[in-house]
Amino acid sequence: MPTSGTAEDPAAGAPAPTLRELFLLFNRLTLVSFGGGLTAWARRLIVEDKGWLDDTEFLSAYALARVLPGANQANFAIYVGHRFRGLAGAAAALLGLTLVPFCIVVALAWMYFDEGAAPAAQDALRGVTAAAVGLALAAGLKAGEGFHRRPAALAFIALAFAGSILLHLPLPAVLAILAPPAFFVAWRHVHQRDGKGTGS
Amino acid sequence: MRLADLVALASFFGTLSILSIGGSNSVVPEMARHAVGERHWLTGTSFSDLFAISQAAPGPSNLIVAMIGYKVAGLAGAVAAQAAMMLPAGLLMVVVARVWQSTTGSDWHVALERALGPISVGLILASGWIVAENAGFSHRGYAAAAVCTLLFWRTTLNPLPILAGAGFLGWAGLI
Repeated sequence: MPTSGTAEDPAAGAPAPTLRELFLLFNRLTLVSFGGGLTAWARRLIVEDKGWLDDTEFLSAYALARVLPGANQANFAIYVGHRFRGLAGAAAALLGLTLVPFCIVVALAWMYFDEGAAPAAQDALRGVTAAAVGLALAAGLKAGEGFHRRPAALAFIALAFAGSILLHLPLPAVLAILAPPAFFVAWRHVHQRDGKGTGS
Repeated sequence: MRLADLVALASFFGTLSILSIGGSNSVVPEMARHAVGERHWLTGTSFSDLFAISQAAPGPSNLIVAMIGYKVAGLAGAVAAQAAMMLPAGLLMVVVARVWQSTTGSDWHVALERALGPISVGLILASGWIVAENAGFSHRGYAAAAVCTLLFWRTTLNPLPILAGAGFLGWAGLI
């Protein structure tokens, strides 16, 4: 991560968005990214079109949204909303992201459970499930590609996968077992790098 | 009891909220284990169907929670489950966002991201695997999942037409 420059430099002097603008932007974002690709859209709208964040802050906010618990998109909306309008901004952005999709999904659940899905719909759903499996696996593979030169990271990927799939461990157990050694390895790496003054 | 259902939903998804490191798909295996295996809120087939619907729908990736909540306790259940899934993690995000802006580049910040990344990747891969297991695919279903994985991984195509196309192939009896 580059160490030059300060984090407090706001992006491009764009005026801070209002609560209404935050709600509307995330509402738009959530609807155009139907079926996925929200991150790419978020960068385009927030960095390129609106200039609310610069690329450096966008990337660090995204990393934070990914690392912390919760849906990545929700965490990102909260970060951006909070950045400009505090708690109310976080709520406005989160509502913009969630409100319309929530209504759509509840309507779909009503059709599925109360109206009874026809066999044809079941068949179509099985096809969609195959694609949705692909979407989840591809997300894991894309995120995992960056670790291909880190044997320790690959080992932790394999252990987390095996713990869930082969041992059927509940998530808290997987995290409790793997997070401390993973942090230890990462902490040593960061300090070695700092100590020697040269990257690996 | 209806109130008991709401409490059960809120307490389970409120806990999952804090545990969903790496995105809400990382808790899908735990969600299936509890909602299908322990509580019998819905069948494994329904769970896989809802997962597919929630992935195809717009919005944050955790909307399957609203659908499970709806199945258990109607609209109130959907609201309770979704709010429980979003609020604890959301409040944590607010707190950490403040700290984060003043500590960018510090050692613990870099080490924490480095440590949790690979674990999250393993969990996300496992989530796809679990859904495939629960769906009861034929060989052609697994083949379709593999092809879709390659398409989404290696290309930048919009996933929606591919999801729709796979739905069409399923409807035509080919998957």
